[in-house]
Amino acid sequence: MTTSYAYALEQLLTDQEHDLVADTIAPVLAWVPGKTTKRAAQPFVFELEHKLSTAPAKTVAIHLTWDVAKLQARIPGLAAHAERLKSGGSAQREHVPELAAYGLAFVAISVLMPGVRVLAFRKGLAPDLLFDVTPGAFKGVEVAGRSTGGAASLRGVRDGTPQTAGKPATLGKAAQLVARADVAEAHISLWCASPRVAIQQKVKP
Amino acid sequence: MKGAANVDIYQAHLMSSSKLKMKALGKLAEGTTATDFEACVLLHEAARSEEAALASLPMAPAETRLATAIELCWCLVAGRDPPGAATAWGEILRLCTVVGSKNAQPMLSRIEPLYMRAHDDFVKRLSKCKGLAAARASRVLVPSSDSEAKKTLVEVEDILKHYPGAPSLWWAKYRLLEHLHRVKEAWDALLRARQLEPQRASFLATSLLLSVRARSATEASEYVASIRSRLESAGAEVCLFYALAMIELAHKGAREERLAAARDAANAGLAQAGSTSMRNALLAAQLLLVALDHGEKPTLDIFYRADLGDIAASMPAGIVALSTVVNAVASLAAA
Repeated sequence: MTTSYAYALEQLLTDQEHDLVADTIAPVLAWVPGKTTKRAAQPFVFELEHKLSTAPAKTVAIHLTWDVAKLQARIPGLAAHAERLKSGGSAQREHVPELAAYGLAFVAISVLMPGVRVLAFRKGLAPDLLFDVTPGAFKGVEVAGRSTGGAASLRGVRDGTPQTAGKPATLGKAAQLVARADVAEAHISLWCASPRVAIQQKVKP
Repeated sequence: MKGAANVDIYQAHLMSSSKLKMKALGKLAEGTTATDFEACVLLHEAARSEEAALASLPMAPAETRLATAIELCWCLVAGRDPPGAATAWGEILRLCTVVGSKNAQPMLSRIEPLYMRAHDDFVKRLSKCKGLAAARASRVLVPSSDSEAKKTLVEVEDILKHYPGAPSLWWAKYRLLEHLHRVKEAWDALLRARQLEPQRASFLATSLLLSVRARSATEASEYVASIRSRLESAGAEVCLFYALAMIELAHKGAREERLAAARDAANAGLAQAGSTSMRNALLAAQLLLVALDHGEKPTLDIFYRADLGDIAASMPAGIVALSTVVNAVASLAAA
């Protein structure tokens, strides 16, 4: 059985720190539909596999909507920014899915972990989004985004991939977080734009 | 209560750093030369916030200090500053020893390959810049001949396209341009270095004197005057260059007032000077001011009496041009 949640992107500016999420919204609007106009229609519906520790996974549908006028009132130039990112051509375009995945992870935290506010964002070491910054006992959410590949690709990010010809084995994000002595609680939030699937899972403790 | 306040300050710095990093990623996603540089400036500021966060925790566990060093290193790698990142990497290695490899290794899984790639890339690009590499190795940024300086400048401008976040490269560009008397471009380069590292006293100090040479008298006067309230704690170098800038500005008007400001700055600098060479440079500035006060032309005596005989030894005896004295004192401080 699928549980559905409707979420308006402008709500994110209230649920989380404005300046932390503001730069992720244009990338969400630019990345999720890709280059096609057809896929740009509202809502963006993500089918998300939600798992809390040992409990069985549940399927959740997140229906993402937005009101451009309301968003622009709080993030001036947002629509033009999204268009610039969509038209791309930039050598740095890998930052668009990265930022969009953070935006979507902020949405998932707001929907599935009500009341939790992200307090810090880190890039040098996992997890990316921290909601408890107690020294030596961090709690947070590790994020990744993939443009294609669906659930299989996201599971590869979570669990790692075996060695193949020419490619070494990779350690999954889940195992990396479990190995960390300074992380007390960890979740992963993985997003794919096409097809629109996601995994939100508590991996520690 | 104090501990709780520290945690609040720690969290505030972390949040500040987080916002800067997110904004920087947004700038990088736009991918223009201008937004790339803005991202570098933001990431350097984020690195300073990370340091401030850690400094607010007097008893931070070693793992937390390592986490900060890792994040700082990431900021400087992403902020295209390989020399800055290398300094942070050194701190990571030192802290790994404290934390122990079992705990440290999982923390390095993301930063280590990232840093190593950035390091290799920088070394590769630097190896193609013979003049710059030689200048960096000898720590003398300005070659003796103009033709060598021009060649090195081309190399620096080329490598800056890849590393616009490296203040040391902007500094090198400024020094070379100043040597070639292209002061307006030198000002722009120094301004970039200052945007990336506003806390670096030597960048601020040299910008004071350069502003007088590169900008209009009104602009320079406003710029130099804006530093005055900070002189008591700005450090000897800033005080010295403030004094030299005021001495040059005094020739463009408000002579008495500006020479008085220069005197105050030289006195403030002497109280903060930590090295003999800096004390001697400030003493030379004071002696120059005495000469100007008496309406006398500066002579080599200034250098002799300030225990700077080595400078006097290479100059013809007699009256010395004011700019020569100022430049000699400035280069002494810069060295």
